[in-house]
Amino acid sequence: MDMTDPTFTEPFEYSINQEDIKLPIKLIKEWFRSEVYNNDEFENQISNAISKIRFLKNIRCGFRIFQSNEVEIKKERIRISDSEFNTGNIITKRFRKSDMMCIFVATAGPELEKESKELMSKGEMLEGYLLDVIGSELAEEAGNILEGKLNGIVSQYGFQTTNRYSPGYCNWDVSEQQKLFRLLPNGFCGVNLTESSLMIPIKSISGFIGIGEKAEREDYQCNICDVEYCFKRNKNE
Amino acid sequence: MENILEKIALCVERGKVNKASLFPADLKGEEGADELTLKAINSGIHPSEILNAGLIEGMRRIGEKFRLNKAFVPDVLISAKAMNTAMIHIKPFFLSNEIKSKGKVLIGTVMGDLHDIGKNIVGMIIRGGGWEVIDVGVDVTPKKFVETARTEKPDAICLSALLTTTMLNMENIVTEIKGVFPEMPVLVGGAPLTMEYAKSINADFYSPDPQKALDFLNNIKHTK
Repeated sequence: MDMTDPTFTEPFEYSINQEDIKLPIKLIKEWFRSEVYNNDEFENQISNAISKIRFLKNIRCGFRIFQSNEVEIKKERIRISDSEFNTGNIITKRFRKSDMMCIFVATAGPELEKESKELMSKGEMLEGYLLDVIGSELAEEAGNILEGKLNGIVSQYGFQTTNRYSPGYCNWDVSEQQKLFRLLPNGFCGVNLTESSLMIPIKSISGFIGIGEKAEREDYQCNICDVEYCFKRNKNE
Repeated sequence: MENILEKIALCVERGKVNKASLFPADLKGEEGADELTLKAINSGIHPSEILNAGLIEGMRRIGEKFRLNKAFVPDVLISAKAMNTAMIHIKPFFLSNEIKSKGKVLIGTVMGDLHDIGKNIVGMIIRGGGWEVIDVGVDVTPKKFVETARTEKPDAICLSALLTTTMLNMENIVTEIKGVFPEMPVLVGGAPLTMEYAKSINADFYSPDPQKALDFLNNIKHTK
């Protein structure tokens, strides 16, 4: 079996086990930069909030691999199957050494954001925000688990992967989500797209990962991107 | 008197809700905005004094710190909670007309967008600045903005969007609002917006942070 095997034309979809999720308190604390929260009580509050993850049943991830004959990396665009994505120069460059492309979705599911909104509407602002933050990090963690699963498959055939990149990053327009989701089955991983290209559940991520013998991972660098108000930039600086 | 008002302002600025609250750690066990506001009322300080020199002043400080990147989202959230808790004691004086709000603002996240934390923070800072805030929620259509404006008669309308795709819906909403209320100031804000975009859709003001939105509102009130 190799990567051209028909098995790889089918989408892969996984439910994520709570035991596989690693959300260190430190990661959540990075969102709370003020000294105010530098105490044991807040750490307890974070760990209680993180413990809610064990009740979540809809943490999922999945991907579909497109073979080299379906992928064309152009100067500022990427064609996958019959869809052409205007990924822009910055993102496209990161895929230059890729032959195949993985389109992925990962989600924390709807439960945390629902509880977060309920808490906020009751005036429990900090507690609600804490769950919102955990939801964001959980979606990213589901993305990390997905990358592990993808690498587990492609490395058997001598392939490597790039970082993951999503519409909205580095001026890759969010509206391109429409084309991305059209390449996946309806309701893939329980995630649906609104007309305005918003993913529901909100705590979800989607995007591309390049695959190839020479595909490379790079440290995420804010200096490659000119999106001034990106939340990742604010967090990293 | 100044001492207790300053203490109230400090509690709001630092998010010290009440004696039982765990944050901030260095004020643990001390009285918070809740107890101090009640104490100030019982000692005969006029509620408008408590509101302006204590609660609004505390929110002004945290809003300013947020603008300067010296405070972050959670800090604003616990400040707002301290303010809201103290406001329970002040509200009866609004009802009896002993104190008045600066005016009324309608706020909502535009059609197609479900993000609400940014909108909520702006609403908290504006409310903390002495305004009445009517929050119409998320995914709000032009029709709903116009209909709510008809019934609530606000002094200004604030629109929020987080995505480049939903930002585009602001133009239609501004047009609809201005079609019915040509003089209504419309403020826009959200991560993907710029001043240029705000001008291009005929919005009156673009605010990159909540405090600037409040400054703008205070200014229109002043010039009315």
